[in-house]
Amino acid sequence: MLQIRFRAMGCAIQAILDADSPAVARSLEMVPIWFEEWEQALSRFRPDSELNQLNRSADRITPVSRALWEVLDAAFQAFKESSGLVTPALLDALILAGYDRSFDQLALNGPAVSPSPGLPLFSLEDIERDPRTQSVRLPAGLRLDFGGVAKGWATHQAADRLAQLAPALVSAGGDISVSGSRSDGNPWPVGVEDPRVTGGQIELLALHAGGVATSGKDYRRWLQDGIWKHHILDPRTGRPSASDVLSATVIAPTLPEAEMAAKTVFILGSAEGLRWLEERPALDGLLVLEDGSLRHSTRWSRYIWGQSGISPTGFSGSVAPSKA
Amino acid sequence: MMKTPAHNTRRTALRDLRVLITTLSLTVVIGLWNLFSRQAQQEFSSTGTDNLVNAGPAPTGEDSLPPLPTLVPMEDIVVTTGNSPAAAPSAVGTAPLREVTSPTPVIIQNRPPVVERVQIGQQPDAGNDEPAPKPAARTGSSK
Repeated sequence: MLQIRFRAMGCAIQAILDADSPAVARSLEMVPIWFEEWEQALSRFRPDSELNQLNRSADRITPVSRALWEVLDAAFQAFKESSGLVTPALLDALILAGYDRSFDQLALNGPAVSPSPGLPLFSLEDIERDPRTQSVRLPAGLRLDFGGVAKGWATHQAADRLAQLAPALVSAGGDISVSGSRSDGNPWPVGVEDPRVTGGQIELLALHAGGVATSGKDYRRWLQDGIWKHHILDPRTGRPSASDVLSATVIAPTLPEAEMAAKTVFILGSAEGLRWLEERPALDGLLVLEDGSLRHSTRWSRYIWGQSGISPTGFSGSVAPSKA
Repeated sequence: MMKTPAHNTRRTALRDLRVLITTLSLTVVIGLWNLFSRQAQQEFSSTGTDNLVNAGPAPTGEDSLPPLPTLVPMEDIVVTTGNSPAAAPSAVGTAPLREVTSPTPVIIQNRPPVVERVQIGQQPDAGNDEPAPKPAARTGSSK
């Protein structure tokens, strides 16, 4: 089994292939190149990225690359399935909340701007897309930030490409995509970090395929004007979500779905979030609340390592997507 | 030779001119010194520190100790340790001095990522006696 680790998209990336050959090693060496290419297209922290060029071309029809087009499509999908709670149209609100530079820089220097109420909020309906020419027109005043959607898409893409050689696991900052069972048919052991204890682990999961993602306010947070802020905004208010959830972990048939669901559950809060999960049989989740207690969906235990009832096939990438 | 008032005035003016030139020279020297030393400091802090890490001793409770005494009569100085304010003061003459190490710059090299071999855990239902395997990866808030 071979692994490569590096940093990209502002987080730690890890890719594992369950095989051992020079060809496999060469494929793994390509993963940082793929992420560099995607980051150059999708990052809001690079002034010359394709995303920033699009953000500067308000009210103009702009042809975009395949990667940006697909991520925009994934963002629309997430917007629809989360009933608008997960949206890339919050960049200005995020900057006003203090997330005005990459988190590594933010942690060092603190935010540069002060909060300002009365920010206009956009809907994705305001964006025009032409699939024929793969072009986009943003309305004036709207700037996009794909955030976790881009990371989830990139991780899923990398796992898909690597899976052509051998069973693969790719993790981007804790959002994990698993292409299929390991070569011996066993699942991948995946730990769930404990946000209450540095270095702690709540659960060990057994994943055959699919994605697992965690959204939380335990790490990407900062102090602004004496108030703790975090990076998960509630589009209903344009401010950091006032959720009672400290972190939400969701397992889904694909990583982009897991990423969307984890953020949705986090924003909805524990009671409404768990109800939302239970209505979607393809999803399962574990919540750590601010008071330190744990809540999980009714089917969560089927993914716990060592518990009976784990299907040898588990999730498969072909499982129907969760319903909206 | 007789000194006329005009001669005296000329000498006074010459002295004043010398004082003026000396003052200006000193001011210019100090000003330039300040300017160039600041530029050098700014250049160092903007470029030189990117790849440098202060590899001096890790911060410990000893950092709260007062600075090491110099050019002060030793018998007049007593110190207390920052960690134990209730401890009886001890004379410097009998207390051992802290060992200090000058900071050593270390160059961090951005190495390209390397492919490595890893061992992933065994079967999930290997029995209760079998310890849980180390996770292949961990999910958590994005880091």
